[in-house]
Amino acid sequence: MNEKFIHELQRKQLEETTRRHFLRECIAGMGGLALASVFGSCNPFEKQDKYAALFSSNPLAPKAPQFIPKAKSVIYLHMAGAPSQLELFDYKPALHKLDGQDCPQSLLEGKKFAFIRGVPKMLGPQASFKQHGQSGAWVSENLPHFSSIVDEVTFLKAMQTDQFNHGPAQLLMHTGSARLGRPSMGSWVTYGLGSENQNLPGFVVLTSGGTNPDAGKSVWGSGFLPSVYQGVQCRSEGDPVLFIKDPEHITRDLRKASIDAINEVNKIHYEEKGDPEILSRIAQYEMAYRMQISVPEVMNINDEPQYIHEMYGTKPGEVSLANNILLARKLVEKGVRFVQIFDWGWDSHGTDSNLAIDVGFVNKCRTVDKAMTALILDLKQRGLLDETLVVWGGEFGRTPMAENREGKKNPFKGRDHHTEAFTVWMAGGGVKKGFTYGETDEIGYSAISGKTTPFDLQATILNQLGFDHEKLTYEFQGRPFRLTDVHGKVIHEILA
Amino acid sequence: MEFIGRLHPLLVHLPIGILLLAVLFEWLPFRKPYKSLRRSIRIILWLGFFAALSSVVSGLLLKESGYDLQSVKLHQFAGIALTLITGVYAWARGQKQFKRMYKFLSVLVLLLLLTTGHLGGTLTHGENFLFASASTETELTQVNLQQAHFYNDLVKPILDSKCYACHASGKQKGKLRLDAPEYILKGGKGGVILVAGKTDESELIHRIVLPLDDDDHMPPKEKNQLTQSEVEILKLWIASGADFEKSVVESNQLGALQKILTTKKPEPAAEIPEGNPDAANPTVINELMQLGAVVLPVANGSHYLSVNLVNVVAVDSALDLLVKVKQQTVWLKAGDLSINDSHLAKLAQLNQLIKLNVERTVVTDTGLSQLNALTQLQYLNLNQTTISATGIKQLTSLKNLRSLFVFDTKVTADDVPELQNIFPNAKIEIGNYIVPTLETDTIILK
Repeated sequence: MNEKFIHELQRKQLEETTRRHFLRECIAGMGGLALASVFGSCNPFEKQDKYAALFSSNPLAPKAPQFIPKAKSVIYLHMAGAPSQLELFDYKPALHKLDGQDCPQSLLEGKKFAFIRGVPKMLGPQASFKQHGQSGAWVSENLPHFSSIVDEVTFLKAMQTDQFNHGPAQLLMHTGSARLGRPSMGSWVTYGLGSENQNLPGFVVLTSGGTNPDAGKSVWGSGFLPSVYQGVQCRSEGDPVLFIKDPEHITRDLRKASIDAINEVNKIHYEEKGDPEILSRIAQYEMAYRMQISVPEVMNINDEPQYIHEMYGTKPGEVSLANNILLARKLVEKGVRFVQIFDWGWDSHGTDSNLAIDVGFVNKCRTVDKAMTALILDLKQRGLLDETLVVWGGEFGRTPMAENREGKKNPFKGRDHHTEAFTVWMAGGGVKKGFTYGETDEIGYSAISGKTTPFDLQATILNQLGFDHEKLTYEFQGRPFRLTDVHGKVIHEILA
Repeated sequence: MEFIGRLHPLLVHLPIGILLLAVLFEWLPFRKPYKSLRRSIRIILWLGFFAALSSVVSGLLLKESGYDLQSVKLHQFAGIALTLITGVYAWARGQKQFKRMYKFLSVLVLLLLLTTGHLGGTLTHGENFLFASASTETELTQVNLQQAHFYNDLVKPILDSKCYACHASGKQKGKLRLDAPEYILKGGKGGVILVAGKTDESELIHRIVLPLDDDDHMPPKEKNQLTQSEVEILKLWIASGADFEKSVVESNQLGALQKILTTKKPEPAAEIPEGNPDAANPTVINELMQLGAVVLPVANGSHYLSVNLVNVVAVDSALDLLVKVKQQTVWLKAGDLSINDSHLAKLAQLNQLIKLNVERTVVTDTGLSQLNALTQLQYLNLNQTTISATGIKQLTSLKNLRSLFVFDTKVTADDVPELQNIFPNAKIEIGNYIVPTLETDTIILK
C-alpha cells in the first residue's frame, strides 16, 4: 500500500513538471553523449553512485519487455495529409476505364466525405505502374528507388480507419483514440521499455514539410502517462532542441557553478529526507548539463561520410524529410527506441498545384523516395534492419473519385479523404519480406480481404517490441488503459 | 436443464470417491484397529447411492448434446446398473441376514464403478487416450512411402492422433466427424470442410493454420497441436485431390512426401538457448550497471541477459564482470567502444553468447580467431572495423552463425563465395548499397 502511495506521489510530481519539461526532465533523460568522457575526467566513483541511483528511481530506466522482442526500435514515417495509395501501391487498371465517368450512386449512398458533394467523377490512376522484385509488388513510377527494395517490405493494402479528417485520424493512428488525451504509441513504448541509452531520450520526434501535423503535438504527447514519456521534438535546423543553449552572458563555467549549487542544496535535502527521487533529480541536472553538448552532436549530420549523403540525398543545414530520415538512422543506432517522423504536405485535394495529384504529389514523392530507400538499405548493411521496425503510411487513404469541392470541379486533379482503404508498408523488425497482405476491390474503393485497422497496426508494433498490447496498461481514472483500448489484433499473417 | 447436464463431468467424481471408500471400509477391518469403520459403511453407501443417482440424472440430460448414442449406451447402462446395485447394497448392509453377500456386492460395485468410469473417460478423451503413443511423428517417418496408401497410412493416423478425440465416434464437436471418408466429405455444422485440390478453401486446413490464439484455431490451444510436417502432409493430400483410394505413388506425391518426411527443416534461429539458467549474481549486475552498462533480462521472467555497454568507459572492468555472469549473458552490444584484441580474449570466455556487436571497434584480424570459442554465436557484427577476409576465415568453429555483418571493412564482394563455404547457413552482409541519383530526383514539377 505504502509503495503505491509513493508511486502515486512520484507520478504526481512528474506531472507537475511539464512547464520546464524539457530542461528539467527530458534533457535529464537524454543526458550527454559526452557523459562518458566527462565522467572519465571527474572522480569516477563519486559520480557513479548517483548514476547507479538513477537506475533505481529514474522512470526512463531501461526495462525488459514481456517476451523476447523481434524489434528493439521503431522508425515511424508518417506522411501527414495522407498520400494516395492509388498513385503509389494499389494498382487499379479497372479505374482507368472509369476515368471521367460519374461515380455510381452505390458508392455514395450513406457515405460521408470531407469535401466531395453531389456526384463526383471517377479519377483513373495518375501514374503508371510496374511489378517489381521477386515478390512482384506493384509500385508506381512515382517511387523509382523504392521499387528496387520491395522484396524487403510487407504491404498492408487493406487498412481502414473510421476518421475522415486529418486531426482525429492522426490521433487515432498514434494514440488509439480520435479524441485528445491519450498517450501516443512512442510514449507507451518508452513507458514499457525505458530508454536504453540513458544519454538520449527514448522517443524522438522529427518534423518537416513546413508545419506540424494537423493534430498538433498531441500525436506525440504522453496523455495521462507521466510527462517524461512524451516525445522529444528535435529540430534539424538551428538548435536541435529549443532553449538548449545557455542564455546570453551565462558562461559554461557559470552554468556549471549554478548546477553544482543546486545539486548541493538537493544533496542536503536528500540527507534530510532520504527520498531517492532527489538523487535522480541530481543526476538529471548533471545529465542535462552534459546534454547541452551532446544533443547538438547527435543531431549533426555534417560528419556523415559523403557516400551516405549521396545515398540519402541529404543536404546538411536544411530542414528536410531526407535529413530527418538520416537522423532517424543515427538515433536508432545510438539506442533510441522510437523515432517518429512527420512530413506535412501529402493532402492532394487538387485545390492548387502543390496539392495536385500529378504535380505537387509527385514532388512530395521525390522528397521521400530516395531517402526512405536509403534508410532500409543502410539499416540492412548496419545489421539494424532485423531489430528496427520501419513503418510508412498516412492517416487514411484517398478516394477513387476526383474531388469536387462544393460540388464544383477542382482546378487540379485531386482526391478526397477516404477511410475505407489505404496502404501502409512495414520493413524489418521481424515482419515478412516481399509480402502483401490484404486486398481492395477492383477500383480500390474498399478493402475486401485482410482488413486491418490502426489498432491492429499498433498491436503488431507492440508485439514486435515484445509486448502483449492487452497487457501493457496504465491505471488511470479507475481503470487500466491501454494503447489499443478494447480493440486490436496482432496481424500474425505478416510476421516472419 | 442443459446446465444440470453440464454438471455431469463434475458430479461423476463424487460416486467414484465415495464408493471406493465404502469398498475399502468393507475390506479393511480384517484387522482389529479398523473394525469400527464397518459401522460407517451403510451411511457411506447411501451417500454414494445418491451421488450416483444424480450423476445418472445429469448424464441423461447431457446425452442430448452431441454425443454418439451408440457409445453412450454402454456407459449409460453401466452407470444405471451401478446405481441400482449400490442401492441394493446399501439397503442390504442394514439387514443382518444378507451378511455373507456384503463382500460379493462390494466387488460387484467396484467392477461396475471401474467400467462406468472407463467408458465415460473414453467418451471425453477418445478411444486411444489411455494407450496412445505420445507422438505420431516417429510412426509417420517409418511408413514405407513406396507402398503406402496416402489416406490410410498418412492422413488417417494424423487425424486419429490430433482430431479424433473430439471429432469421431465418441464426440462430434461442431457436428463434425473425421473418422471415415464419408463423414469427412459431409463436413460439420459450418458446412463442407474439404475442397479437393484447393488447400486455401478447405476449412480443415484453414482452422489448423490460424494463429494459436485465434478462437477458431484447431486443435484448441490447450490440446496437442499438429507438427509442421503433419500440416504439410494434410495440405499436400488436399492439394493433390484429397483422394481416399489412391496410394502415394498413384497420386504422384512420392517426391514431395519424401521431402516433407526426410528433410529436417533447419530450425529457425533461436534467439536464446532453451531452458532458463540460474539467476545471475545481483551484485555483479549492480556493479555492471554502476559502470554504465545496460543489463536487462531478455524478457520478463527470463534469467538470460541482454547487455549493452553503450555508456561504459571502463571497458576492462566491465568485461571482467561480464565473465562472472557468462552463463546468463546471451546478447552483447559492445560497439562504438575501444574494444581491442586483448579485450577479445575476455569476450571469448562468454561462451553462451548468441549475438555479439563489436562494430566500430579496433579489433583486428590477429585477435579475431579467439572468438572461435563462442560456438553458440548466431549473429556477429564486425561492421566498420579493419577486419579482412583473412581474419574471418579463421572462425571455423562458429558453426551456428546465421548473420555476419562486415560492411565497411576490408572484406570485399570477391571474398563472399569463399566465406559462404565456411558459413553455409549464414547471411553475409557486405553492404555498400548505392541508391543512384536519378535525374527526376531533383526535378520539381510546376
